[in-house]
Amino acid sequence: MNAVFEIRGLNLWYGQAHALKDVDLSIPRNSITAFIGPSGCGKSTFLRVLDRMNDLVDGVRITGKVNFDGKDIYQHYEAMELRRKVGMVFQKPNPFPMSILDNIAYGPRLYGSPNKHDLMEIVERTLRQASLWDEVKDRLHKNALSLSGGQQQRLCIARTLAVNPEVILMDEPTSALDPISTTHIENLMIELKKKYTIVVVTHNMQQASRVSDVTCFFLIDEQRCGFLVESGNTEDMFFKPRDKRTEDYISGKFG
Amino acid sequence: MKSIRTRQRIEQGGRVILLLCALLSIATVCLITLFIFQQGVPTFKSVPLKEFLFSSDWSPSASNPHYGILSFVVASFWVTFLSLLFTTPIALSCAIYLALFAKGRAASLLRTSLELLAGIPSIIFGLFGIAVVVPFVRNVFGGNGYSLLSASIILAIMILPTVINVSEVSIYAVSNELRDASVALGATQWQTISRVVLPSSRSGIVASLVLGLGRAIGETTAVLLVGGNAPLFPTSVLDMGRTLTMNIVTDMSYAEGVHMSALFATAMLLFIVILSLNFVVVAITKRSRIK
Amino acid sequence: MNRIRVNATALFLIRFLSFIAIALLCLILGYITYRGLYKSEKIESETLGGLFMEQDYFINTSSHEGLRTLSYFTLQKMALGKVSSWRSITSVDEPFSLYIEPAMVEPFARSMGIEKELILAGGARIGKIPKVLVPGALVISANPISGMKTVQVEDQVLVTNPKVMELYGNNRVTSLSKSQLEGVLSGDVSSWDQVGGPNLPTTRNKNIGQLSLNEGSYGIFSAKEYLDAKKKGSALSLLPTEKEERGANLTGSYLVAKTVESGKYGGIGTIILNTLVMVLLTLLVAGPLGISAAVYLEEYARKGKIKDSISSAIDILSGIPSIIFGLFGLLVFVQLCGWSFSLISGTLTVSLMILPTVIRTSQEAIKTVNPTLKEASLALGATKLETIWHIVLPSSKRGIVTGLILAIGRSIGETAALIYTIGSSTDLVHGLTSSCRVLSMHIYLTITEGQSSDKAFASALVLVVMVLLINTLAKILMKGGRKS
Repeated sequence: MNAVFEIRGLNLWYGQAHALKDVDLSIPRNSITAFIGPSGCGKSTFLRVLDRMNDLVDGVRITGKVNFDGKDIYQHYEAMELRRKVGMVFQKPNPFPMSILDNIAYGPRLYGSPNKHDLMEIVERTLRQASLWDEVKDRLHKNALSLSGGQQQRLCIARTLAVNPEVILMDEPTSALDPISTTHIENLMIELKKKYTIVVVTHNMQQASRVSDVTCFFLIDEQRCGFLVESGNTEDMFFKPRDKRTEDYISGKFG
Repeated sequence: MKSIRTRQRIEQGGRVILLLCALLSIATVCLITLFIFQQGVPTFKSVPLKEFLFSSDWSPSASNPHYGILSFVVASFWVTFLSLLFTTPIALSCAIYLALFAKGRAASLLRTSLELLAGIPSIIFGLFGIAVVVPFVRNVFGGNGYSLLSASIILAIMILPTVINVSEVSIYAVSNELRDASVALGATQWQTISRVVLPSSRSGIVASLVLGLGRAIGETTAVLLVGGNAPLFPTSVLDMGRTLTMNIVTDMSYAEGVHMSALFATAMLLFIVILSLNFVVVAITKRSRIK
Repeated sequence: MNRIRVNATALFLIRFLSFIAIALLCLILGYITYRGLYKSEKIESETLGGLFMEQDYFINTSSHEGLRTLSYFTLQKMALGKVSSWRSITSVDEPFSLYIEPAMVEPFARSMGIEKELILAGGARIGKIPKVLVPGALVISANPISGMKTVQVEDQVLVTNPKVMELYGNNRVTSLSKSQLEGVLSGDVSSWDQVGGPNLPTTRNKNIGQLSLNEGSYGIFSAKEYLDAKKKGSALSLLPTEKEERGANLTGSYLVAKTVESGKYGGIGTIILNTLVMVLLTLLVAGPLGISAAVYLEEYARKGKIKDSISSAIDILSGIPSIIFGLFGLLVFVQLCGWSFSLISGTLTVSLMILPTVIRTSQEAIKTVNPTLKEASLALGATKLETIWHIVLPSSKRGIVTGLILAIGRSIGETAALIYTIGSSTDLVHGLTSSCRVLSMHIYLTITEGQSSDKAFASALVLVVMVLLINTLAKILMKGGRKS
């Protein structure tokens, strides 16, 4: 199975409002898939379908099929289980008001008490993977909120990695960060895709063209409902888009 | 290692426990209503409702006992009415001052004082009443000192913070634009207050007074100590009187049978009155929100 | 022009009336503090205050701050061995013992008008005064003993013809206040009916023998003279006067001393401990229940009938007066559950009373938790409960604790809900079902049982200080929260 996620005929309603229409999409393994499109077109909403974070919202209704590793995410997985395998990094870094070490240990501790040795191993591994280890290895017990914005976001990534996910969902992960931190994180994404599958929602088209392998373009229709316009190889999308709307968006005619 | 199953079971169980804790409040209200009414209703098998409510003959120990609570109703009425009367000028002044004028130290001093006043237990007010208010009333107005008047004075001080809190919020909520409009037309500060601000916050102020009334009616300890506790029909505010709450507390220790039921019936009456007052407050605030 | 004046007056009035609120608070707190710290009761005394016997010996005592004077009659009783404990004199439960230096026995016996043998028979220890005395000792010596305080003896009494103190119509004079005494002595009060006695002219007589002959006559004599005259058969009456007891009221030892005989003697130590136990237990009951309810309302309940009904129920509960909670507690905990007047009945009643406060303040605290933290936790695979336990509750800790502290402040001063639930035993509470007097109840009972009002104020001061401390603690916590 090369597709980590298979989505067929997905529709989502917030109460009576139709928010996502007929989305068909596959997300390939060990790649970076980017969701682009103007604001309000449902990219983030769709992202949250993938780890069932929409379950938390009152009045949300979903139809269609979403398969993770070939199995339906509602029928076959418990929400908790799914979220361990499909991690999420948020737009604004949200480390817990605890020490750096406790932040990373949070996930593993939910499943039992790892002994000190195993825990330190996890902490070092994930912080290295998030390329934060060298900066914080001497102050693991300091409060996570004392880190800079970029460092906090990398900590959140390390925290997600600590539970050994297969997929990492990122909801505009660099929009709240400065350009240098943004570059850091983009490089990180490219490094991480060797082991994990990354799905990133981004406002920033240049970012999408820089890092992603697959791009999906979303738009909103007259009924304020989001839908998928086209998806495919990033290079193709950017230089030879099939749909005129895609071409218009990419060349900046609207956005 | 905690399995997913265990964690889920904890989640389910925990959710049920939390729900039960939340439902406890509903259960308590229902149980209180149930128990009080259960004890109070049988009164009316032997005591006709008209006599209970409208007769001032309370003689439970007589050979032909009577259970008329009119004296207590009148005493409660006078005590709460007077306490509202005394408290309103001070409460409104504080509310206006805090909402419109207060800056810095004066404001925080006043606020702290009101918070402390709100925290003083009623027994302390009662003790203060006995030592200071009762002799004061005796010297200035004559009579025993222990009287409905003394009780009203103490109650007025006790409900001050309650009334101020809610009125202050309503007065503050009157928008700046409204006040600016008045001032721009050349009104003095007092004219703006009396003609624009107070009328606009009228419903909030009334709500605060009703809340104060509710507190005053339900107060027991303080009035017990300074009111005199004479179960007679009060003819003047300087008379010793007994409010509904005082009657319950005084007689409960030795009451039996119909006497005790009558006391619970009094409690029922109090309960109904206070619930109604709460609904009145909700109705007032809802109406003002619609406006 | 007129409206400018109206404006100025109105604004002045507003400021003035607001100031009155502050003044009221200061008045109340100040008065309670003053009465709590200084005794100012007037007690009836057989002897006239401030007039002391000339002694040719010293009376020393090792105990009880504030004991400076004894009445002649009390000293007589002590000499005869009729006093076994200091309880009735200083309220402290200490055994009494009398020591007399051998050389002082004669002078002492003479001034007391008692025979030496009777003093010996009464259990007084006569001999060299031991270096280390048992506490509660009274020592008669030739010189003052270092380390002990000396006591003076009041022995002047107001003696009257018996007719003065007879029942006159519906009245009878039982004692004279300070001002009344001054009036009589100065002559302003010319007839006894001005002080509640019979219609007889007040005439002073310096000869005690003459007193029994002249109706309406009175005189000031030493107790010894009075007793001697009575022994000789003269018909005389002793008119008590009011003495102001000055001195410290609430003292450190009163705070910690055990309560004896329903507060008549001893201190309020056990009562304070009982109060702390009740507070702790209330916290243990109302805390978890209230916080759990708040968690449910904020984290689980969806907008709808259930959430609304619970909210309304909480509002209703917070408006119900405490006497009704007390009645409910009486019916359910005391009678139905059979726990009688006990710590548990009272605690459960008060817990129900403060439940709305705890729930509301906890709700407010939980609302302030950043939702993105909750999302992060859930995204890592935590359950809702785990998120609440690890993230939400620690973050709202400060607000929740503040609410608990405020609720405790309310419960400490509660009386109406406890009168018929918690009992009035002054012993240290020894079990959930034992009767347990707490501070607020003690003040109430002290007042209604007609005991010393000084004691009531002492306890009241303690209660006020406790409440103030609790509220200040809560304020500090709240302010600290805002800074972080």
